[in-house]
Amino acid sequence: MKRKLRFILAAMAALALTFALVACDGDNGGSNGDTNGDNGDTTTFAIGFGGPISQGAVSFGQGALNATRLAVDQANASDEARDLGIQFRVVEGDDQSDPSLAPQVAGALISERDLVGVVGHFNSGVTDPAGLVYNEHGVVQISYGSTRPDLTHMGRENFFRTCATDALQGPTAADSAWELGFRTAVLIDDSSPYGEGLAAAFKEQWEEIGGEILLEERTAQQESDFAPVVTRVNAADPDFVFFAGTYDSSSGAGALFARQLKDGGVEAPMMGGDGIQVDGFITEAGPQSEGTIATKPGMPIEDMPEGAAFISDFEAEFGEAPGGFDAFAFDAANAIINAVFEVAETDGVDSVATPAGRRAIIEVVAGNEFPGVTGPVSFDENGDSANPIVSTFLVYDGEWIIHPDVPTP
Amino acid sequence: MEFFVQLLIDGLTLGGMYALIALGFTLVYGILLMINFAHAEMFMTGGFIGYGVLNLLGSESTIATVSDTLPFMSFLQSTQPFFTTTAVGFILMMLLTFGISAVLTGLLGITIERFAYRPLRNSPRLCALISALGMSLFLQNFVLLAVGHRMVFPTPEFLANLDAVPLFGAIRIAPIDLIIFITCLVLLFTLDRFVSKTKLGKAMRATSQDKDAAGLMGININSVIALTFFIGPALGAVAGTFFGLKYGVVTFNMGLFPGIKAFTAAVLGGIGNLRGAMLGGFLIGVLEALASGYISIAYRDVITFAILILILIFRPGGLLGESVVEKV
Amino acid sequence: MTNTKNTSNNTTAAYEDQAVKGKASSAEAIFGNIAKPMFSRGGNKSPLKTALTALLLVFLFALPIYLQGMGEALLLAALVGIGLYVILALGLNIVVGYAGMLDFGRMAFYAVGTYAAIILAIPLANLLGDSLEGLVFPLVMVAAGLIAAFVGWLLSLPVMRLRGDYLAIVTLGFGEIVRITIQNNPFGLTNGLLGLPDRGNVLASPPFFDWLRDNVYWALGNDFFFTMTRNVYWYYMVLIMLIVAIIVVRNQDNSRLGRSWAAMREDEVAASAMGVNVTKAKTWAFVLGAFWGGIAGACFGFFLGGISPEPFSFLNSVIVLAIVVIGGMGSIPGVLVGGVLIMGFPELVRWFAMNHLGQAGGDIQSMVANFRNLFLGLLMVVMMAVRTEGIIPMKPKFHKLFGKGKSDKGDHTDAVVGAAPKGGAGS
Repeated sequence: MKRKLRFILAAMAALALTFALVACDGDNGGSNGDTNGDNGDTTTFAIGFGGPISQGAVSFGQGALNATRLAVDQANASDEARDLGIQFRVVEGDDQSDPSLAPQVAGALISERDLVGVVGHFNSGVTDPAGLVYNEHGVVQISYGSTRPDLTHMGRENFFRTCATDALQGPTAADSAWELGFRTAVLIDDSSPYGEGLAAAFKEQWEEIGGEILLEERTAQQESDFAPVVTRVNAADPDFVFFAGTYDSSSGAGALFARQLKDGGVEAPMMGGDGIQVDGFITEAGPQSEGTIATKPGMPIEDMPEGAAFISDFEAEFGEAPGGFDAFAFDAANAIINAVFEVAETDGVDSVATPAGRRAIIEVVAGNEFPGVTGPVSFDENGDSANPIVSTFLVYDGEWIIHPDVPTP
Repeated sequence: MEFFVQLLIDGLTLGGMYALIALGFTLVYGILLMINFAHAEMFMTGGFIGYGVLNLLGSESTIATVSDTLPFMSFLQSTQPFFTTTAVGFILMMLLTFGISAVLTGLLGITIERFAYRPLRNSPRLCALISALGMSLFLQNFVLLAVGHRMVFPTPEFLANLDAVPLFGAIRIAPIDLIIFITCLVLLFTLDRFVSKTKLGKAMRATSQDKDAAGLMGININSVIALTFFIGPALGAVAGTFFGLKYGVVTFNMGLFPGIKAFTAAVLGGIGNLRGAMLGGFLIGVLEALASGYISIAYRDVITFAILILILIFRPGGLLGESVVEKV
Repeated sequence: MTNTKNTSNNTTAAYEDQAVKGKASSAEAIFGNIAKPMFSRGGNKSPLKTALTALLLVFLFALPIYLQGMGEALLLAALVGIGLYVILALGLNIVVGYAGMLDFGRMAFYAVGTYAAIILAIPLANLLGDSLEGLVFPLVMVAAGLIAAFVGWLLSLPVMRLRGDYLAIVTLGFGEIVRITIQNNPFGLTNGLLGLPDRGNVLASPPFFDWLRDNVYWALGNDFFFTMTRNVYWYYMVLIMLIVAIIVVRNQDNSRLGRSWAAMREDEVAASAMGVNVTKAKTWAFVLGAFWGGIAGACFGFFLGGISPEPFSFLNSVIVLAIVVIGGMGSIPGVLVGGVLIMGFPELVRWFAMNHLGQAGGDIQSMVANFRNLFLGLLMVVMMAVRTEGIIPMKPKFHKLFGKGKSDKGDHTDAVVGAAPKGGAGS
């Protein structure tokens, strides 16, 4: 037994010795590792993508990954890339919407030495711990779909997002509801961080403008039976039901709830956030989804100047229309790409993937403005989108359309 | 008052499903003294099979795809309108769906018993429980890989066109709820008669009292156990299909919570006691509905689990069961 | 027979000693009788085995230098996760393997530990100030372990009288109650689903981390570049905690308490008749098992830098149980092998798919995650049927006087495993 202890001690001593050597060796090696595998004319940089690809909220991950790929492909074909001798590649990080995988996925992206920035993640609960890693390594992170308000208030200067936050979406939803003549609401969240944040933001504004909340309720995750809630809603008899959650019952239950509301004889329409503004919601809720209202960050992209080109390119490359937050991911990727071009131009291509270059990228992203698919892309001092737009949609004839009775900002 | 009655109706519908699942737990426990953890997956599998059959009979697109690969199935195209729109066709389709789902799931139950539990019949009880847990994990992921994560359950046109039945005041009961409630009562009553009046039922009761003695009396223990493992899953499959019809979706992991609640129901009624399981199922359903109506739906699971723990600790025999002194 | 004779005589004698005296001091219960029988079964340890152990340790300590240096950070973070689950499984092993009680709700203690650590960390950091920041983590880790142990004790009070299978269901319910309660933000403690630490707060750096991160780096040419990243740091932290856990748990198993667990597992009634305080032994099993859950939880929370309720699902409790069951109930090497096999193999495939298969890797990854659980389930079923004792069975503690021993009347015993090879399975 003593022998064993001694071995442990010896192992630890060996380790300590290694570290000592390592620490001495460090000074002349520091810059060594940052040079790129520069083969001839072009230098390749990696753009990380973090989001749910195989599991979790995949409908918000796969399309966004494709949008990132599209942005990279377009950048690689551009004149700027040819002139500077730069090519980009996308490195996937599949977080499966699971916060405990975040350090792992972020760590993997960080270990790509030519990494210049990360698009992602989607779920706010993942964006937070993953962002800790990017922040420690000074790599720019632009989330395309994390709407939790406090993410931009954590003192991380490398964090930005292209989508509007719940802090904005909630109030817009409240304003739209007021606009539509609703005065009394039932507020329900789906036991997800997203739902809880959105519900809180909605509630604050709704009470501010004089709306009344008749009932507040929270459904359990993976719940399928809402009959008692429907009964309570019926008893409360509100003007509308605000459901803060997502449509998929693996992370919420929007569609099932919409269905049971109608089946249970609730006449008041259901309203929600961007979590239910997806086609899957209509498929799953069936005809009972008719009349559901939802807010979503951004304008419908087909109405934007750059939108039509994006949609046709996306469809040509991936065989399906962009959905969810794909346009925000496209803009996020372009923000990084543009910054890389600019840094490469001023400081030289070789400096881009160095710590100094990564710092420069963050500064450029923070100050840059360019016309994106979702509107002009620029960021305020916290890293939130400086031109946040939230639109209100309606399910009409089995499709999401812009709500005709709510003026678009 | 109306609020209360409506909650009661919600609870009884849910409770009917719990009761159907609880019977499977209680039957197996009565005979093998084993918690068949995989029983929750019988409910799930039944739902998925029901989804398949209903699509095969009633969904034009599914029939079209199937006919492309298997031409002899194309006769379904002509029967589809009959099944989905007429009352007789609808009833026939429901019977077919539930029948096929129940029989297939029952056979699955027998297979599981044969390969996963029979080798463990003389091992310590906890081995069988771990095996059942493993089986549950296996079945969930098998369905996930073979079929998919979640399937949107088709609503037959005929059912969708039915109006809610008004009772009194503003109280109304959805047609599907009525169907579930009545079917549950019929099934429960039939099973009760079966066990108490028929020869096979007598064999089951004898086996549950003393396996060895029953064997000596000429009862084929293995057949009786197989029968138990057929009836339980078949009833679970009926509940699973109802679940899909009512909520419009089946998911690979939908078994876990209803399973635990049905187990709670079985324990509440006195595990091993058939009527206890039925009573327990309805009680749990109503309790949950009332809890979520008057407190909050967020805590409904906590309340059920708390009931489970309290009963196990203070009255392990349940409401209708006798308290059993453990033999040494 | 000859190789075990020596030890079993010792332990049998010691067991009788325990039976007569009856009481074990609580200090001994926690730390085991460190002075005397620390590696009492190591009496017949071969030099080869010692050398292999040492080699393994050197390998484990050197591994992150290679992995981080070569940029294989994905695998490194996965190793931290594996380590945490092995610590959890070691704790569960006390309950399931040593004391013979089934626990389906291991995540409850993991969650309690994680949340306790993070909730305590913020005020403690303010109290200690910047200069003592490094003390925060060790202090809250111990506190988290103790709080989890306390919760384990609370849970043990009502469930003492329960039969084995009922106990399993109650622990399942308890696990879910803990998770749902955390989700609903009791007393404003857990911040519900948004998780902790809430806005603006950052967890204190663990000891020496800042210094190590800034001062330790090592570059060799273009391909090798090592820095003390977060993942490397936590790899070492978890590895050290794992070694500590193994040493402590081993000693407990060889202590008086361990012998009473063994006696209880074999035959509760007989053990009780021989003077073993069964209630006390069960309580200690719960408390000590929960303690390691709390320790692992604290590391988990600090490794992530924050926590929300999602990771504490029932499925994860099942996975921890599967590690113990498949590895070998009551056997520490078994738990280690089980953990590496169940947690490590899918991670290895995932890492390979991600790093070396490019775009196809994404599909393979998702398949791996699902197939892992599929095989896990199947393995549990098969294992119970053909090899109840697991991959590496626990060493028999007692000598059987009469052949195969162990009554075949399974109905009356809740023991999970027999110490003797299983007798007549089909008889």
